[in-house]
Amino acid sequence: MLVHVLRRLLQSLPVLLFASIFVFSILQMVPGDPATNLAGPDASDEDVEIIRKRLGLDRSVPEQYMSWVGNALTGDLGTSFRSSRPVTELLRSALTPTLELTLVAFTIELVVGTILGVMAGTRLRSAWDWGLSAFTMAGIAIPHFVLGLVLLYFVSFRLGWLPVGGRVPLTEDPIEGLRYLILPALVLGVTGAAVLARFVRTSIAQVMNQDYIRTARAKGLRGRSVVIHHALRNGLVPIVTVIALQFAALLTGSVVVENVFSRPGVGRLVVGAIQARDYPVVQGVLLFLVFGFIVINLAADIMYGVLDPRIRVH
Amino acid sequence: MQKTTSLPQALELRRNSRTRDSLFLTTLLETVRNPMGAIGLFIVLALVVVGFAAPFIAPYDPVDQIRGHRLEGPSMEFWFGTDEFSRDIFSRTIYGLRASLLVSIFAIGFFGALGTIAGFMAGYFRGLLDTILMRFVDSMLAFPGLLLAIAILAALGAGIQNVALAIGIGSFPRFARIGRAQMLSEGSRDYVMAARVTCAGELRIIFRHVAINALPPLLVQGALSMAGAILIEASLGYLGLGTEPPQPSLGNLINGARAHLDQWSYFAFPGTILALFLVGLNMLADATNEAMDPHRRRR
Repeated sequence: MLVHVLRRLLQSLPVLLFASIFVFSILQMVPGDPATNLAGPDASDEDVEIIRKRLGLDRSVPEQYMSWVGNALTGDLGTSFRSSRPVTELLRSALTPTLELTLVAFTIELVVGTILGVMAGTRLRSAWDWGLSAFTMAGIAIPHFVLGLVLLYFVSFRLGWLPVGGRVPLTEDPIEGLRYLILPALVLGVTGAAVLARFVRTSIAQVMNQDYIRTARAKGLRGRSVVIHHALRNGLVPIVTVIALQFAALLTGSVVVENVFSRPGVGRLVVGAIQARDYPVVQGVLLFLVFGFIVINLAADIMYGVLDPRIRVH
Repeated sequence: MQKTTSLPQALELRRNSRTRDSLFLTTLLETVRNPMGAIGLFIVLALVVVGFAAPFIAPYDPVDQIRGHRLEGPSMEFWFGTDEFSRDIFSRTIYGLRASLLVSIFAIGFFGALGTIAGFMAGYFRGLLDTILMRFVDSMLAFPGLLLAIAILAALGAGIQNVALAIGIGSFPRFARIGRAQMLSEGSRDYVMAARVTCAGELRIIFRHVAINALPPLLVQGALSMAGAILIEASLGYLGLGTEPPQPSLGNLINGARAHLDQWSYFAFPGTILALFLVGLNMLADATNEAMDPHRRRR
């Protein structure tokens, strides 16, 4: 087991290295000289030089990369051009709303996805199954921002039931906070559930063919009890990896959804920073997110090895 | 040894082997026979035709401001209504569809081919080249598609060419993976050995022999990637990182509509067209997948 974990950890190191080089090179890829761009058209040559010094752009590229990565490892992602605040501070304050959104969406996704998947998987080729197919298709195909706007139009604008956008922290006022949270979380959660349900369906359908299910039935167990105690337990093992990857998808989706519902968060932070050409923030947030995705993938692989010993023997 | 097959016989043999071996044609037929595939194909074809014929269909110039018709609902004059700058939303929608199509086709076509060739090379020559390329591909796959595109646009700035580049670079690793896998599985077949025996050059083996056989899975990946490309293009447009106004794209049209929710037709029409197109592409890709792999057909 330890060997499996160590091997996966080692394998993700080069991925991390490449990813960090890629995020670092964003600033290098900017057309023209970054210092001149930042200083603006009216800046004097001296101003440009001062900015160049401050960014460390006067040093060689490998030197710049080493110091950037070194600082990042110690938790220093640089300072925002726009607000002059440390990037880590901006990131931390943006992370709370995003996690709030993704965790609620994740809960919706797990509950809805599992229930729908089990319904369809135990009733293959029934109306339930076809209904799920249509739902999955719609969930995969319809973009978050289109679904978000449709909900926003009907629920918030026409009916006036919920606010049109913004956020109230759940810790401050749980009820008011939920009113702001429910629509964006639904958009993310329901589309995610569509994907998850499809995997659950396939997995449950496979399990339902097993001999031990027939045995359980032959013993005289009720259908529901067979599904819950026998099929679900075994059927959900392969789903664990999917669930981890789905969480990563929720994080990406939140970038768009936050912008639809004008919610503060990591997605708003990064899109705003790109538009303002605030490169330290862009690099810091992207590095953080990529690191997060790699860790999630790693966790999924390791978990899979724990649940299914056959995976460990590579 | 003397040849015993006559010319007609040989032609007959060849014809038979062709029809039997044309995985591509059988896949296509199987796809269309599936109702889901047929509907998907119809939707996609219809919208592709509308998109490419936009300059002939559109009643107005997509960036023309028509005085005195600000934020109007649908009418005989303006089928989808008008936006806040008094522009015709119908014309903007089909021009936007055209922009999305051009960007995605260029991105997938060009970078898909590039990724495939890189994958072929890695799978054929193996060794250090393979290791470096695959680690590079792995690290790119660590980025979710939209995020990778955002990262690239962060560097290059918004604009239609950069969006194509960003989507293309994002699709490169998937094609490289499949190209490599195809080369690994096809490369050990007898016909490759036979070609090598006849002293065929390495490039000839890769492109004339293996590539032809590896084509169908790559085409399916192409169709699947189109749906992803259109989605990312639209999302980038929505986030204000795509095609720059006043030029329309489906994404930036819908973004514009966000501020004018009271005018329902503004977001409803472009939104429906985009959703419909994506549903069509996904149905088509699903049906093709099923046709290619009998194991995945519905039980």
